[in-house]
Amino acid sequence: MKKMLFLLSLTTLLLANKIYIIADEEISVSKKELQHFFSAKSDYLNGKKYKRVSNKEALGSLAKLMFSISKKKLSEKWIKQNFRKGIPFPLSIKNDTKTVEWIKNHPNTIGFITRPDESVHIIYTFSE
Amino acid sequence: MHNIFAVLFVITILFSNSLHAEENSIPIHGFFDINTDYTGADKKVKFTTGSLDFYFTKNLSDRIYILIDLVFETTGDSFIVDLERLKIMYDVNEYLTITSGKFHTPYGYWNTGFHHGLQIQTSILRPKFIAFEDRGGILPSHSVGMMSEGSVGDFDYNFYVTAGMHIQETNDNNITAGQISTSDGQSQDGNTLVGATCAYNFDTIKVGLHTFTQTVNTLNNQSSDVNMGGGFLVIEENNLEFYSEAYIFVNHNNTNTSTDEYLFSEAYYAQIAYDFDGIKPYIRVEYTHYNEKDVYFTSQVATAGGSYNRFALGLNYSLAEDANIKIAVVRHNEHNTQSIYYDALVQFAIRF
Repeated sequence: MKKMLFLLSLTTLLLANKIYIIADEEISVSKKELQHFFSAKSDYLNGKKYKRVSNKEALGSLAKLMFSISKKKLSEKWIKQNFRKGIPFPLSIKNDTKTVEWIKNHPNTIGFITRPDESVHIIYTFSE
Repeated sequence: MHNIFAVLFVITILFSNSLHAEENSIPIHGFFDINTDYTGADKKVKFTTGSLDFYFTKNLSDRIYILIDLVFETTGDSFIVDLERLKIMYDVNEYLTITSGKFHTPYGYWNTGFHHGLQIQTSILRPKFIAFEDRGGILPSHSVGMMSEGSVGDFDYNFYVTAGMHIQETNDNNITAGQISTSDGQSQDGNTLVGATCAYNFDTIKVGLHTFTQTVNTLNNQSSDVNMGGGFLVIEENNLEFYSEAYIFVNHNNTNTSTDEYLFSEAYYAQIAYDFDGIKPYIRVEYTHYNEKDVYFTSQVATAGGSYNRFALGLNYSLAEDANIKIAVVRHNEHNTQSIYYDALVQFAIRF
């Protein structure tokens, strides 16, 4: 029992350092394309337009893993880009479960979570 | 009276949103700023509430979206309302978006990168020569017309045709005599502003060129053929910010006594900042030289003090993700009057 609890704890700890990029459909993208997408430089992946959905608690990890910048800096990029173009600010959801639910209920959205979920396609994984 | 209508409009949107599901509501965002200034020119301390900027966006479809940017600005005991932007955008494809309405004139970097939302701007002040028209700027920061823009890989482009600006002859509503007016499309004599901007992105470095041209009616039945060209260099790498822009004017007077002479003027700024985990010091230098024969500049109240150079040293501190406090000391040097004076500024800038 103790061993199982130890293994579960260890797995959780390891998984906590990963960011999973999820979508309702399976697509294949490059890291550069994802960086352009999540830095609001582009709204397109594989030629198709998507909306960004962010898990607010994971935003800091995403900023560090993908861009080596602070959460505030990444947020500023989004705001500047969206403010200029006039599209809505990216939706920010507090936890992974709600992010997954939102993705499934809204077509053409891409989001990121810290725990894997089999109900949506994981299209890219970052780990520290 | 139109102030009341603007307030009612905002209240209506807020009430409507409370009745509808999220996907049927109109997302509202906003900014406001509060300022305390000591101005060396008149040796006074001033407390002002700055501007309250409501910003509405809505996707009408996957390709069509709208933006409304409504700003309340205080004037003494009252306030005025400016419809700063009202535009509809259509994504033709991933390379081309067509915009119609009122928008930031897309020259340089600052005028489209930042607007009335001062929380997203590192410094307290904009460079003086690209201030808004009603704040002493020498350029048409807003235009009404059509614009095509997009990106092809790392290359960005912008082409626009809009109603032309003119120099206001007399005081009228929110526009003071001697200020640039875009008259929300009611341009005099059908003058048209035509311009283009392009830039290439080398990952964190953006290098661009910009130009616009227009015959501008100035004061006393005179006009000027205004031809602007220049460029910009922007670096945003991790915690480093560097912005710089150059504007070269090659204008020609259309007056009773004008010659074929072309008149050169210039304006530049450069700003650098570094973010030490929420504490961001910055330095900015500005330099202008306005040709004293050019009626485009001599007509403007913004250039009444003539050419100038300005130096700003400031600090931007993040109180929270959506709130910043900024302080700055600014040294002014006005060339015509040869006067030098200092301002000390404090600003709270909020986003919601």
